[in-house]
Amino acid sequence: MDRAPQAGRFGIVVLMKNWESIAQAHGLDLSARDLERVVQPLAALEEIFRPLVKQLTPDMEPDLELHLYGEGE
Amino acid sequence: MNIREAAAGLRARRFSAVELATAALARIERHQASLRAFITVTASQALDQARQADRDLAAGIDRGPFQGIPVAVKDLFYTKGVRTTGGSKAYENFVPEINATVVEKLLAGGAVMLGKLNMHEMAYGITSANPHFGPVRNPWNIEHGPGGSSGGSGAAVATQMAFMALGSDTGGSIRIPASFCGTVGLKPTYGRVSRFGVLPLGFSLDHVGPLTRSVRDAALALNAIAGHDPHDPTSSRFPLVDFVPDEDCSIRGVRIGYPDSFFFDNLHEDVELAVRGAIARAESLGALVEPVRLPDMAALNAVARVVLLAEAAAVAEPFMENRSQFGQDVLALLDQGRLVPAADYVNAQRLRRKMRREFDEMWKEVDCLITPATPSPAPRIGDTTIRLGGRDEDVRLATTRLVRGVNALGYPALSLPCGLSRSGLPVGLQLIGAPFEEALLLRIGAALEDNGVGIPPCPAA
Repeated sequence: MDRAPQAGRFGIVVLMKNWESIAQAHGLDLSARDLERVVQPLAALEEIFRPLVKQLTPDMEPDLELHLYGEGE
Repeated sequence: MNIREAAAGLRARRFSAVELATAALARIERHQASLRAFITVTASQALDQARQADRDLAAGIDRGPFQGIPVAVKDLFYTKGVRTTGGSKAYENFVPEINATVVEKLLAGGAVMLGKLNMHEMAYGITSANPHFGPVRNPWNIEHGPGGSSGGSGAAVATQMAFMALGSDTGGSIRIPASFCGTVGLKPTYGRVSRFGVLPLGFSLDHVGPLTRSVRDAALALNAIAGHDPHDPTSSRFPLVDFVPDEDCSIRGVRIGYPDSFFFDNLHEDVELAVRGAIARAESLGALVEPVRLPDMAALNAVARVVLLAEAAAVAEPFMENRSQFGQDVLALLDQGRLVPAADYVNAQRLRRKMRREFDEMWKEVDCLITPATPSPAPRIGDTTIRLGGRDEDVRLATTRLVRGVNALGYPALSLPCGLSRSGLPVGLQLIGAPFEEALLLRIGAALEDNGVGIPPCPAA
């Protein structure tokens, strides 16, 4: 479900997802117009998000609950 | 009249709580057909509460500044025995058996609850053009939107239907309607105010806060609703302070960061003019306004969007068998969220932690940031794109671009009016602070307000 490599905003070559195929695999039965409303924003978001993911290293943990500093717990 | 003036008037018997509530209900009656700020008006309950407030005050029982003050809450706060729709068909018949913690706190303080405010469906959007309960309209010009998702809250406060309205903010949903409707809007630090009994949109991004007529009213509201809640697993135990700024509060020596890039790119010229005017005023009051360079805000916005897409889709999953109950825009977002891979969600949360550490470094240099709240005044209802800086931008993405990232960081942020556009629509500025620094933001906001930064009351009020 990946597309040809594209250059991200940091110049890193990344594989972009084929959101149409993913939508179909999820059983989303949409008109072409509605599919476009779903897929186009995801593709645009992917263009920014995918290169960021490439910067992650294994030591970087997720923020599954937002705990801000100064907590007295 | 602000909350303190009303509270003083009640105690001096210049008017009664019943008179205040009656006047508020009359305003609702007058504006409801055109503005659709409310989904449910609880008039008889409000009058009962007002009578009780009058009896208590006469008996010398003082419950604090909200006693006898008419307020309203966005229709996603649980209200015992009163329908809570979340602006959606999905919760159309939901009548909670409990109050949200914040509602309980307001009622314990003697507030008079006028009803439940209209909003963007599921709190998932910025227009408040609700397909089920009617579109909320901007009281400054009904051909324009009020912003959202707390659009009813903005409209109700701007027209003085309510002294204070509670909203929620997942990607700007308090600050955007505050900016478009010309009110103050406060998104406190994540965890500062309980989310218990609030219909969720994005668990790790949702914040509860007030929209008010003045900065000090917002501070009073925060005093009333902040604090640890054992029912909310993300609630903070960080110590509380009195958030209300002193009468002659000073901002001399406060280091205010001015992020020239990103926040001042592609703005409507009236917004830029008004916000730069407020910056100049802060400087004239002795604040040290200095340029600051921020980490990548566009990247932070992208991370926040991935988190929200996934969390909102998770919330809505039980309702997805009946797709026709959702409006088109919300359904498209929910479908997008269902396609986001689990790995992307986890990676967005990893990036979020990394970015928060980068942003936290900024607080060594400055005490807060000053920015526009929205890049333009309220767009016309129905507009899907807006032209800013010589390019067409999607209205939703443009409207959220200066506020969304702050939700991912959990920082407190205050929106306050700082001018009117040439077409007579409000312009809002945003103050962003370090975690739990609401008191500083409110002090800066109050100092600006005391020294002429603001707008006249909405003509429709």
